[in-house]
Parts: sequence; structure tokens; C-alpha cells
Amino acid sequence: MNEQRYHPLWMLHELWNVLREIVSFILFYFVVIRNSDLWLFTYGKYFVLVYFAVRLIAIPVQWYISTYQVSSHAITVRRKGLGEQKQTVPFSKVQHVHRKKKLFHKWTGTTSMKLEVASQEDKTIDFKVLKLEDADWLEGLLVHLPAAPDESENEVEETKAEEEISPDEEVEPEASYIEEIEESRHVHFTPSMHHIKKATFSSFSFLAVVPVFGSLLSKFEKGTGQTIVFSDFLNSYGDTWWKLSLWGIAAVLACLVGGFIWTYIRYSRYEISSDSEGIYMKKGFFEETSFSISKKQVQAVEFRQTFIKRLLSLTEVKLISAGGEEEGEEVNKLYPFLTVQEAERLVQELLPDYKVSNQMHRLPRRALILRLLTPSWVWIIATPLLYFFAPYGLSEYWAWLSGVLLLLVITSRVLDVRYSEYTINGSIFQVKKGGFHTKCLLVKRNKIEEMEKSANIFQKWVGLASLSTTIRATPVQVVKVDDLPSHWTHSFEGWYLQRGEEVERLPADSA
Amino acid sequence: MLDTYVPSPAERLPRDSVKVMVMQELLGSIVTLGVLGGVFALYSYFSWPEWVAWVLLGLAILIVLLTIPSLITPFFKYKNTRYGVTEEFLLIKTGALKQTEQVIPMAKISAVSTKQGMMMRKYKMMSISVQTTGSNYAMPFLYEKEAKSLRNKIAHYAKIEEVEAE
Repeated sequence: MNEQRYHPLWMLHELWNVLREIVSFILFYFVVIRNSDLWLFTYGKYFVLVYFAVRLIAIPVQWYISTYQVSSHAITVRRKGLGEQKQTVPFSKVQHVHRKKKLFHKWTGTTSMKLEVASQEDKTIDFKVLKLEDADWLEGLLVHLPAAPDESENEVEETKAEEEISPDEEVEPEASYIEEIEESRHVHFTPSMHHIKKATFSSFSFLAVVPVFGSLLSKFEKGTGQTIVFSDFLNSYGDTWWKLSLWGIAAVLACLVGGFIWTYIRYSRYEISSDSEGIYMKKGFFEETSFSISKKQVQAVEFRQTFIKRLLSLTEVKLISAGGEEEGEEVNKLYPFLTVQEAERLVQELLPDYKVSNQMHRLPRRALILRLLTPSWVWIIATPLLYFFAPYGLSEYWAWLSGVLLLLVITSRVLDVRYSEYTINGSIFQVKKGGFHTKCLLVKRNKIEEMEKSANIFQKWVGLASLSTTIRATPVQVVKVDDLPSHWTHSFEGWYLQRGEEVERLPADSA
Repeated sequence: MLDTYVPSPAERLPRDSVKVMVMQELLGSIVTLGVLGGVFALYSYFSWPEWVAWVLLGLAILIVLLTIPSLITPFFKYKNTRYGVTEEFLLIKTGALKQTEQVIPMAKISAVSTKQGMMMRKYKMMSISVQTTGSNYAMPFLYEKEAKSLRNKIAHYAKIEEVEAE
């Protein structure tokens, strides 16, 4: 593909952003500081005018000087101004693809797309506006291309590697290729009515109706100048018990319907699909976001259950990947209201390598004893603080407060030991942690970045050890389990040392 | 998975490292005490309020007290640190009371670097640090020759690269 400018609509998109800033500034200026005669505000507006003028002129200039180019294994973005900025990202470095279709994109038949990169030197490649076909094509390339070795870390062999692997073929978007990709996708999940009903109840979204109703009511009062007093209302319309209960039922129904609609908007448009190489998630009612990841780039799978979800035996599944910002966390969730069986089935279908084992080991009893005997610094520090500095009115109860705190500490320790489970299942390390909320993580051996085992004297006395494993996510995730039997951590190390079994290597001559 | 042979890292820090660590600690303390002495001179010259002297005395005592254990710990550090390099892994074992063992696959190492301070140059030693996605490991004292060969070894092994997205 030749060097190419971004879609011309990019300019419109930027213009829209700048205009929004201008409008909010004008609002601020004329409403908030209208009457201020501080010099900053009198002269400040000229500076702001110049600033916005520069911003507006910069839009077409930026569009003109920025280009991108896609080759068979890498993408290059370039900005040629007085100097030149150039960034080449090999496809193998792209951790996942994140698309977002705002209303702007929907109306113009385009999409925004981010190629998330995990290393510190490389920045995310952000296409603010991209034709849909181009986006599909590029996404297909990224997810399907066999990972090419990256030259940056292979400095010595760089020239050689380039000759061998990258005769930099020109690649062009082809309609047939895109169709081929689309056809081979298999849809694994779309939410049914049943799911949405469950989601309505387990997310308590029906309660959201109350504040909405309240704000509507206050708007109505302002609009009509009438004040509605609840007791008056009841006196005139709820004078008999059957009328009253009718109103009650109506209110409950309104809550349910409102909650359902709210949930419907949030969780009805969901699609999880996959093909041989990648996983694709799409969601959103008004704004559509999608998340695509090559199966090879999935760093770990996480099952998360809140207390309520546990009661309803629902679970949330997340595909952990590197790159992206914190907000991206929302995106990589598979549907958040799956039943446990559904979730396990889905993971099995999407990632056959990740098998969920139902036979996990619990921590030994001596772990609990050790945990309970460990002094709690929180409690030790908090108690004198409570004694000396308790807020007025509570000072007499310091002993009670301290007792409650101690109870909480003990409960959390007991729960922590009770719900920590672990096992190794083939090439998967499966670990579960938590108290009221639990979190179960599945990591493949070759995705564990490094491991550390440690034991302090007390742990050594009773034959226990702590184990922590590092997973490549953004930010880097360290999973630490305390008080495992030390013989088990020893065999874990042995297991980890054999990670070479699953590791795919470059052919010997290129390394 | 179970009952696999787990090699124990066997390489030790050089014996002289104890000397260097102790001397570094001493030098640090002496420099700080010197600074305090300077402040004390200023105190007597400008006749500052009396509490300054007490604060200075307190700090000096604290430094001396803190120096004593730091003169002993180098010996334990020397005694308990082990490292090992295989084709696939870097293994580091540290700690006396709390024993820690780290296993870092070579393929996950993103950078190796060496550093040499003044004192270390005198004893022909170097420190070597290894960077991974998650953290940074430093092996504080190695003989220059060893450090360099270790650095090259790690750099070499780390390059037997796994396909990035395995």
C-alpha cells in the first residue's frame, strides 16, 4: 500500500472537536466570568482567540503532513513537517485493536480505530476516522498475520531478518479478502431476552429509575410552578387501600420497565465471535465499540464474581491483554452477566487451550493458623489512634470500634484463606483469590513473564511459601498467593522451568 | 508436572563484595556525619538557637546507630545470595530471614546493563542490572570479568528469541 493520508473526514472530526472546545469556552466566558474585570480576563480573550485560530489552521496542515503506510508485516505512520516523525510498528507488536463508532462515524460510514501497542517506546496508533472497509481489512491483517519477528530487539541480525522475512510486499485492501474473513467468523454469543432480564436484576438497574424519576419530577415542578407534595397526592388519589396498592404496583412496574430499558440499551447489543486466529467483541447501542484480539495475544483469562453475582451464579469474564489504557478494561470483558457454565463453555470455545479445572487445591489448615497469628498492623496502629483521636461522641466507644475492626481483619483473613484456591492443569496455572468478591485467573505457562517464590522464617517453620507470578497486562499484573505448601511451590518452579515445551521459536538460523 | 528437577542457582558473589559493601556504607555515613559537622560549625559561628545543636546530635547518634547493622548485613548478603544462568533462565536467590527465589526467562529480558562506581572500580567489580516487563533486578557486586561475561551471556541468550506472540 502506498503512503496515504488519513480520510479527509478526519479534518471534519477535528474541526468538530475544536468547535466543541470553542463553544464550551464561550459558555464559560460569557456566563461564568462575564463581569470580572481582572486584567487576565480582559486580555485573556485575545490570547484565546489567537489560540483557537492557530488550532483551526493547524487542522488542514496536520492532515496534509500526516501519512500512513501498511506493508505486509508492519504499519508506518509518518508526519513530515519541518522535521520528520516516523513510527513503524510491526504487526506482531500490536496487542489488540479497539474500535469506536461514535454518532459522527455512524453518519459518515466510518469508524475510529486504535492499534494498541504495549512497549514503552511505541505509542498507540490512533486512526480517528477510517473507512469501514479499510478498518476491516487492517484488522484482518493484524489478527491473521503470522507474527513476524521484530527487528528492533534483534539488532545484529536485523538486515538478515529483513531480507528473509520481509520482502515488504505491497498490500492493498481487497474486497474478496475482507468477505472471506467475515464469512469464516463464527458467532459464539449474543444476549437473549433471558440474559437481559437477569442483568436487570443482578445489576440493580431498576433502582436507577428512582433518581431519574426524581429529576423529572423536579423539572416538572420548575416548569409548571407547582409543588407536588407526596402526602397530598396520596390523600387525593390513594384514599382507599386498593387504590394505594394499585399505585404501589404501578411504581414497582415502572421501576422494572425503566430498569429493563436501561439494561437493554447497555447490554442488548453484544456479539462475541471468533475465527481460527482471533476473537472479536462488539457492543453498544448508540455508540458502537469493538475489541479484536489475536488469540496469541491473550495474556490471561479472568473470571470475576461479585458477591451478588455469586449468589446468582453469574460471572464476568475478561480477556487480559497488554496495551491500551485503563478505560480499555471495560472493553475486554465478555458479556458481564453470563452464568458460570456459559462462561466456561464460551472460554472453551474461544480459547481451546484454556481449560477450566474444577478440582483446585485449598490452602492447608496451618496457613489459616499462621495467618491468624500474624499481627495486624492496621489494627495495632488504629487502636491507639482511636483511643486518642476518636471523633467527638465516639471517644467512649473506642474499645468497641477497635473490636469491630479486629473482627473485620479476622473475617477478611479467614475468607481470604478459605477462598484461595490453586492448581496446575496441563499448561495452565489456575488461581483463585478473594473474600466476598472472588477472582479466578487462568494463565498459560509461557505467558507467565516471571515467577518468584519466597518464604519468611515463620513460613519456613511450618513448610509454607508465597508465590507470585507476573503477567503482562497494562499495568503489569502481579498475582501473589501466600502460604502455599512449600513442596507445591517447588514443583511449580519445576513446572515453570519447563515452559520451553510450549514456546514457539524462530527457526534456528534466524536467531 | 510434579517432581521435576529444579536446579538450584550456585554462583556466589565475590568475597571482596563484603569489603566493598562495608566500605560503601562507611563512606556514606562519614560523608553524612561530615555534612552534619559542617552544619554544626555554621551553628556555632552564627550562634543559632540551641535546639539546632540537639537536633544535630540526635541525627548523628541515629546515623551511627543505623550504620552498625549495615556493617553486618553485607556479610549475610554475601552468604545468602546465589545466582545462576542457564540457556533459558536467569535464577536469583536472596535473603536470609526471608528467602526469595526468582526465575526470569531469558526471552522476557528486555535490557541488561552494567554499572561501576568509584569504590567498585578499585576492586575491579561491577553491578549488573536486568530489566523485564515487570521489574528490574540488580546483582550488586560481581567481578568485572564475570559481570561482563554474564552480561554478554544474558544478552546472547535473551536473543534466542521466542516468537513475540507465542
